[in-house]
Amino acid sequence: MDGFLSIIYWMILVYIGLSLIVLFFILTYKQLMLRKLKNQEKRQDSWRKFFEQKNPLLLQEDVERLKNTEELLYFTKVLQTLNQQPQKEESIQEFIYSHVDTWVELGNYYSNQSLIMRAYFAWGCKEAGIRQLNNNSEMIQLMQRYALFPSIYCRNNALGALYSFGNVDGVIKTYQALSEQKVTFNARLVAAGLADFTGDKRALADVLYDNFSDFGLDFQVGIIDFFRKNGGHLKHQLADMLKDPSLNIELVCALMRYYGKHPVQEVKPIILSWMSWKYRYQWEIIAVTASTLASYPGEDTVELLKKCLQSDNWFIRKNAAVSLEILNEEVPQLEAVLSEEHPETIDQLTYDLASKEPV
Amino acid sequence: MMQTIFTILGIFFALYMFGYATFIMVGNLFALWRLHRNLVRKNMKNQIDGNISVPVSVLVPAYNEAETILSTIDNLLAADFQTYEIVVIDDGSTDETAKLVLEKYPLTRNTTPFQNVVKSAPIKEVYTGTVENRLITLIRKKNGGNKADALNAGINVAKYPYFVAMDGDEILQADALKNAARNFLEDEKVIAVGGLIRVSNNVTFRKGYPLETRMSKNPVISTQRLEYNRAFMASRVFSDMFNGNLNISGGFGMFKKGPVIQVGGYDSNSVGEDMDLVMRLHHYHLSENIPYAMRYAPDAVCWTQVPFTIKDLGKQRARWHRGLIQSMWSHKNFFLNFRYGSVSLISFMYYFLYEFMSPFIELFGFLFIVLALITQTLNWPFALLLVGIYGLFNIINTVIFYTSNFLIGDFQMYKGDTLRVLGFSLVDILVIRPYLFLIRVYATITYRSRLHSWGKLTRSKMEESSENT
Repeated sequence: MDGFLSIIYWMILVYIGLSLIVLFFILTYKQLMLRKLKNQEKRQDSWRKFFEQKNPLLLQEDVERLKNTEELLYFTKVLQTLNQQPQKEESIQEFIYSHVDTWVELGNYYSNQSLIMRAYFAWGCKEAGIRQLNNNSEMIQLMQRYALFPSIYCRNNALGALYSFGNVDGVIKTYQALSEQKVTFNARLVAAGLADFTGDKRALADVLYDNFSDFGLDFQVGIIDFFRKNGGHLKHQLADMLKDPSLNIELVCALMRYYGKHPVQEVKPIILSWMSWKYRYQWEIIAVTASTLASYPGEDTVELLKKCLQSDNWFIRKNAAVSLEILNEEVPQLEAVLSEEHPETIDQLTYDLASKEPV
Repeated sequence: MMQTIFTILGIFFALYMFGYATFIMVGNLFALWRLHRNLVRKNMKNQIDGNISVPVSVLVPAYNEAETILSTIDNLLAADFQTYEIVVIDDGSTDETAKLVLEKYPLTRNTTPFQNVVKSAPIKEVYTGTVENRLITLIRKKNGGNKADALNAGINVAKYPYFVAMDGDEILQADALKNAARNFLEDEKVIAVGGLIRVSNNVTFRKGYPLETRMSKNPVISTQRLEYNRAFMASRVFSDMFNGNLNISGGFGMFKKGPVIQVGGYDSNSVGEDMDLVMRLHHYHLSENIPYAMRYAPDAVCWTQVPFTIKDLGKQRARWHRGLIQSMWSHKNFFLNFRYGSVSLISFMYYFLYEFMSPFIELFGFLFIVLALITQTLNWPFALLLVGIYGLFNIINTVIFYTSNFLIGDFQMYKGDTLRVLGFSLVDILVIRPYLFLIRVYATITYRSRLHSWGKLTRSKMEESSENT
């Protein structure tokens, strides 16, 4: 047993030795990090000097450098800064186009790294500002793959890159792939992202409309919100959607907001039909429709809005009052409703997860 | 025969100590490397963050927290986070907890119905109001016997798909929510994130950030501070590497509400409700082959008051140990179960050997030493030497983890801190750990009779800096 205990004794001494080495590193860490910080400036400088060359060319050793996350960080920072300088933008774009194969190689490398590194690579592609890639570009396929990784950061940045590429097909196919895999994505992010699309937005809107049924609910809502700013020419086609009484509540609200901005008098009867008693438990629809009706003057509108002023729901009352004010209607209780403060209530806030069915 | 028995037992205890030292050593090395990498990647995360966030309900169960509840809420209002609400659950307090909240914040009675998705004792009243554009909800309910029940009530009323469970006497650091939430955005498999719990005694705060973090002169407080460092920074970071965290502290954990509801919420009968929930989440996802991850975010910091008297420390640790026994026994199917992988084979076995069984093994070890001394079979100089270097190993690692706090964020070392750490480490080894060993033995013996006994712990007001901006 003494022999055995001696082994344990020596092992613990080894552990103590290792611990002392670690302690030494910890105590000198700050100095090491300071030195690294100075080194970081040198490394960033080396990339700045690289871009100052007449025709900068990434060699294989540079590509290997970029497979280190910190080098990628410095490189992207320098690229981002240069991209923001108008006089440099053209030369940077040329540089990027001439190295598409390199980005793809790096993209394939990073696709096997951790999710945060993939997200960062996608962010770099977004910030690089590559424009006007053709349908067959491997960069588009690379970002489509990145958009499917299980990370919201990665997905958002990959989509951001696709929007910046300005390629309609790239965006559509990615949305279809995501919808097919029942991936949910925030509708507001969809709308905001589409607004950043650098290509032909009208063409994008048309193709989005043509393939609308291929997309999941979140994407559909975001797309309708995008149409509100960039799809006014679709106002006659979208009316058919509103005729469906079983349409999802979020889509109804999105379409109502759309028709509030792009009024079509022929659609008014359909809009009014959504103020019916059968939707009384879906206050969101009533509230948004009350707001939309400001763009559809008429006696029938005013009658319905006056009824809304009696609603228990603050949002319905408020929206109806604002619409009546826009329509210059004089109603006795209008002032009172308009001056109501936002109630301290959670009646709009009961978040019922059970009702959120997967698309 | 006796000699053989002593030899076998001697080898067993030596291996037991060595096993613990190996776990600490390996865990420390991996943890420090991981923390270093996190620091490097933080820069990357800050770049790609954008404006994306997740909405969170912060649940604050409170039972007789009149001393601390208002500072807890005020600090929550200072959180640097986009979308969150504060839900205070007054679990039938007999002091002025609810009254103070209603007096300070403009809350009005709310009668909107909500869905009871998880079981809890009846809710009597709900009050809501907006302060600084944040929704504050106060739930007044019948006492459910423990924190688990209060949290379930909070889950039922909370409006967002993510929630944070914390205690009513804590200060959530202003960036804690942001640093925890990032993990959900980084990886969609993540269903829960645990944060770092630090000791708030003797610490002053301003707008949700610590100002002065000097070590307390009180050895009970300072030894706990060192212990929390070791436990959270070493063990949790290491376990995170193989998705093996068995406990997301009830002091601060952020969860996706869906999976928690799926497993029935917190167990109202559980004393160690935090560990119990995490183990049920592990069990559910592993059994159903659902990809998942539970992460540990060392930069999501929550400051908590720890007991400052030895008696209160004993009460707290007895309760914790009973909770541990209950959770380990309820989830005994994790014992050496290859189906559960490293969660069972590393994490659960570590807890089993070095937490659950430790009172028995240490007590038996103590008796063994006494017997060996009496029968003169113990080479006591060598035994003392072994214990001595083992103690030295523990002290060095305590110093390592105290001094490496800067790896997780801003951290100040004050003059004399290293000496204090060394001194309090000695106190920890010579006084506190033996005391806690006795407490664990006591807790094990009184498990059945005192399982649901909470005991009253003394609280003090948390220190706010009066410095101007």
